[in-house]
Amino acid sequence: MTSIPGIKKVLIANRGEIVIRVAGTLKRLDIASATVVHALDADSPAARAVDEVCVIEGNTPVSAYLDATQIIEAAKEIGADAIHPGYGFLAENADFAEAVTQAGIGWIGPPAAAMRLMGDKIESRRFAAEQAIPLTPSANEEDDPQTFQQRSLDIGLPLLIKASAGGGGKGMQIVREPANLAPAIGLARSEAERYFADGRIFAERYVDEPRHVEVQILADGHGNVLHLGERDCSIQRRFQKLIEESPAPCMDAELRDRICTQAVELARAANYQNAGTVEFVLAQDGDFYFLEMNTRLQVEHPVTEMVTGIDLVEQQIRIAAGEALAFSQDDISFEGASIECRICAEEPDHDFRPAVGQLLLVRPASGPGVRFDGGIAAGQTVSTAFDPMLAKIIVHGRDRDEAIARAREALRESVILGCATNAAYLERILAHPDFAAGRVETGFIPAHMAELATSPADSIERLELLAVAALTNQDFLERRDAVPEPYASMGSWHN
Amino acid sequence: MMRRIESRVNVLSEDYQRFHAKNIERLSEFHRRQDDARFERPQRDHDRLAHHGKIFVRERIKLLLDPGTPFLEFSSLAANSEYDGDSKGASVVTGIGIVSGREVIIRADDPSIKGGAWYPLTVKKNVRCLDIAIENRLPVVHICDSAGGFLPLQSELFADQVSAGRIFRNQAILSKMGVPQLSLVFGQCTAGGAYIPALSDYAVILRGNGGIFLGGPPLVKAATGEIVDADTLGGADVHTQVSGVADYAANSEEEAILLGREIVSFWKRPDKIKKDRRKPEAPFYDPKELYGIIPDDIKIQFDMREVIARIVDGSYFHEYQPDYGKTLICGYSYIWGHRVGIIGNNGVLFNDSSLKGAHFIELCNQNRTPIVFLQNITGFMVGREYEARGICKDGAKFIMAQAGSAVPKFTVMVNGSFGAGNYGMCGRAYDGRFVFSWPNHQIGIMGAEQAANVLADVKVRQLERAGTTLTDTEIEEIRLPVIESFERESNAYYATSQIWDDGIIDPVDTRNTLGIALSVAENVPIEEPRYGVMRL
Amino acid sequence: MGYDFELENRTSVVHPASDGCGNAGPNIVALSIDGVRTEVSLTPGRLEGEFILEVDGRSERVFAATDGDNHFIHLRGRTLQVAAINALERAQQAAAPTGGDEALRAPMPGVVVGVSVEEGAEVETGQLLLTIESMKLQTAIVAPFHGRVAEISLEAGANFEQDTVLVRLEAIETTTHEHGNDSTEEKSP
Repeated sequence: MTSIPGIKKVLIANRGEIVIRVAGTLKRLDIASATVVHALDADSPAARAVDEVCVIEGNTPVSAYLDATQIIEAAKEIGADAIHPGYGFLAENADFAEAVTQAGIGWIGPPAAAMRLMGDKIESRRFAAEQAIPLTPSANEEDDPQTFQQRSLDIGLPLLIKASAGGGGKGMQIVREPANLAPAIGLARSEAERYFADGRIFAERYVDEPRHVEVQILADGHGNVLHLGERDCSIQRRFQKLIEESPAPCMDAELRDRICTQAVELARAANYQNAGTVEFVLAQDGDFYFLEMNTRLQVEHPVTEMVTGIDLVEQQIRIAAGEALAFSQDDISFEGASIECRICAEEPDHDFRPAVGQLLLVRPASGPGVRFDGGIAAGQTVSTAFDPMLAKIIVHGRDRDEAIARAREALRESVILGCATNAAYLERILAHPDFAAGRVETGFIPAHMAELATSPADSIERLELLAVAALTNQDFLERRDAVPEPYASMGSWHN
Repeated sequence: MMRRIESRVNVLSEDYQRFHAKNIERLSEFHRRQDDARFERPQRDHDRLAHHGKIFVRERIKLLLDPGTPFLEFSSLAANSEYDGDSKGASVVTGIGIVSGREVIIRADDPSIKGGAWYPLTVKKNVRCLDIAIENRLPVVHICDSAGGFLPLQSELFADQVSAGRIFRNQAILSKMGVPQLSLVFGQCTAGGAYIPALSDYAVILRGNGGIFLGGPPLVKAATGEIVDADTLGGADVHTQVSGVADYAANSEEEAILLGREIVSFWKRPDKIKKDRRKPEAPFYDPKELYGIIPDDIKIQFDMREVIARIVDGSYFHEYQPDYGKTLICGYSYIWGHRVGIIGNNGVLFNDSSLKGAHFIELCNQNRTPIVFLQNITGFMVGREYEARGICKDGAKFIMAQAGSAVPKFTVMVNGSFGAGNYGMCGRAYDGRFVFSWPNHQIGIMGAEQAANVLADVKVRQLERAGTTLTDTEIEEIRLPVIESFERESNAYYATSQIWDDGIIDPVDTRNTLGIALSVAENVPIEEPRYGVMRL
Repeated sequence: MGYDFELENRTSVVHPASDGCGNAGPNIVALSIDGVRTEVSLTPGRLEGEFILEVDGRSERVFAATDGDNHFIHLRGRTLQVAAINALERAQQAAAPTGGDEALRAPMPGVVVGVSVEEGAEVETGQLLLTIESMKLQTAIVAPFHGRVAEISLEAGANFEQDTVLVRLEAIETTTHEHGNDSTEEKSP
């Protein structure tokens, strides 16, 4: 691999699996890696995956990773040439991108201007409308706060109330009854303030049984804008993606081409650079609406890597270093199908409430076509301080059926002990006939709630589990071994 | 390397089939009586227990024992021939079990019978179980729930050497030996009963039902005029917060039992004597074949080797002096991995068999081997020839060796125990660690027929001297009541009712019974043997 | 205490159950699970946390790890949790007096240093209610059970005698556990 001029050391301003993911590419490119860690993560696999570690502090662990000044100081101190922000935290913060650049450090991401334009939900929608990209009807509170409720109702129910600065499903509320509008606005605003420190919200038409389809874009500083195909991310709970795949199932070539072309045109018009994702809502009738653009690397980027064979992080670094894309749209080929499953510390049967605990044993799945991106190891504490995602299983198959089969097998083979996870739940989604048939939509989980619920252990399973528990329980074994002979051998004999 | 006993039992033979049928009948009679004593209570007694929120005594014991471990119960049919059968099992359950991995004696009052009141045989059974504790250094868990002495029969249970006072004396002796005791007080412990928890190292008392007082509320009122309710007088809070008579208060029997289990888990384990141990092995021959070996008539002889083969490990037996004194079988074997000497009767005791027995007992003492006696004995041989050869002298040697023996002794009454044979073969009087009987067993100074003949003969000669001759009918009239009374009182049920043994057992349970007996016997070091003067 | 295990909110009793002869194979353990006797073998595997479980001729690869009383077991593609139950603790909770008031009395004469809750407040078991000082030693008065503060009669600085009621608590019902099948196999002795 040819080295990249100007980039010898990269600070990854993030935590968890994405640090390990980026560090992997850096290593392959012979670039030194560093990351920031809060004390809670000091001994994490992410901290161990990089060449250098900078300790950061904060009132809460999350606030440390959101502290731009501290992170830039750290980057300067270790002499990092560039910062890779990963996803989440500061990844979509244009002010941070700007501060990084002003500090003379390279920014592995889009220019701040493009982030400001496309990263803001309201701004990006205005811009998209100007480019004749289809949009769902919407109303913006900022335009006239007094009439926001009425304008929202004028769009027609159902409605979705969202945070302008949001992402990741946080700060979103569905409204199906007019009476619920006011409380939903309140909730959306308070969540927006809590998560994004920005209380601006807007309302838009809610599409029933919609699919979430997004297009991966790569754009360099030389005017080249390409798409790397689409991803279907319809399987969601609480507006957060659980399963993503590429290509999108049940989508004909013509529709695929139209969506991807629209995405490329939007990125080109915005002078977008680096990797980005254009998200659409796809209605069951084939209509699609622009949703938003994510100006960063997505959690689900590996499925695109699997079908295209292109390392997106490498391309991000090359673009940031000023290189031109080394391939054209026609050079990109799409092979087979890929699925990603997000293993989260949560209890699907209890409304996906977060689970906590100390990880006791982690055994990633492996095998042909299986990739396990995780930043977890035994001994690590899973707390509610961070996002509940523990790891991602990404599989590749010759076709979707093979990918599903491999994903199911990989989920069954992955062992994460010490904290409840949704792994078995994910496996049940993949096993569901509707999923196998490609009948996916963002309401898939609530619609199939009963079929997806955990089935209780049957009598054989119960017996096996109890036997294993007893025979690995110190107290039980001590009590058993305390019984002297011949009593132990006699069993419960009674004259 | 020992050789396996070669069984000559033919399971297809007519005798085997007939014996088998008879013994199954005897066994079902035994189980019927045992189930009745253990579980059958008038509904009102069950209701009364339920009303007070009390768990049945057998459930209490089950909760106390380590699950999946055995319980060797003593004298389950004690008192079955007394008090019109009212005091089932003598109103108390005693036995050896495992609590938190420790061998303990459990002594549990049975409040489902007359409020757990102590009959004279209840006291005898209590004393016996504490004797077992002392002899084998076994800790005791008392589950106290007794109304006190059964007053109508107080004279039979109070004043004598082995009356109620002996219970508390034994508790004190046990404590002096460094053997711990725990009391779970689930009912009222009144008068002497109050000393059971007070003399225990640990006492848990149940809130509500539990009470400990020297004098209960009626006695207090009679004695001093003070009117006080039971809880204020001696309830859980008084004793655990003020008096210090008990150590822990519990809110439920289950809680108290689990707490008791935790207490026992801190007790030291006994220092077992070091002995050669083998890996246990089930008998090669099916113990159930014992049912076809024990005859349907006490007069029919059988080979004791067939019994040994169905008790010992792998049916292996090293026979000592196989060709001398052949009416007494002696030899070494293993039971549940413990080396034992076995002495069993194969007929009447002659001079040679008595000498062989005495010699073998000395050998077992020399090499510290516990002895198991399998009794089926009609007595020592009588007649001019044998008296002339000194059968009394040889019998005396056998008794002297046996009584002076220092190794633990265990006796199983497998069929008959008559006359001085009972003495030589370690009857109850000889301080064996345990005596157990089979349901077919008979015991007496002599057989019913012999006794009737002796008494009739005495009468006939008396009358002859007076010049009267009795008709056959008149002789029968003398004989019949003697036969009846002897048969009743030599029966295994009568014997066990009087606590002449530690209980009737199913023959197939002999192996496990002895296995536990041998295990607890190892808690006590074996002293040097010392014998009296052997008449040579 | 070593024998009770909870799986999916149901308690099961597991204990050794020898066949009476000790004839089982070297690695085979006989267990009674909810009164049913089963012969199992659990052999550690090559990998950390791996075991080979054999029951009734079936062989399964399992992964198991224990965190205190919690057992995490990965069996046939899914992970379930089994919790070891302390039977004494549970019996104490089940038998503890419920409902009604409880007066927390001064263990010795002293002075109130601080009051940490207000009347009417709901308090968790172990929550600090008052701090008192006596003989130069401070003592925390904590809630003995989940309840509501019915009365606090003293303010900071107030003196009190031994046995003075410091706080009166009202119990709040907490949910109790469901018990599973009991043993059917064994008679009581």
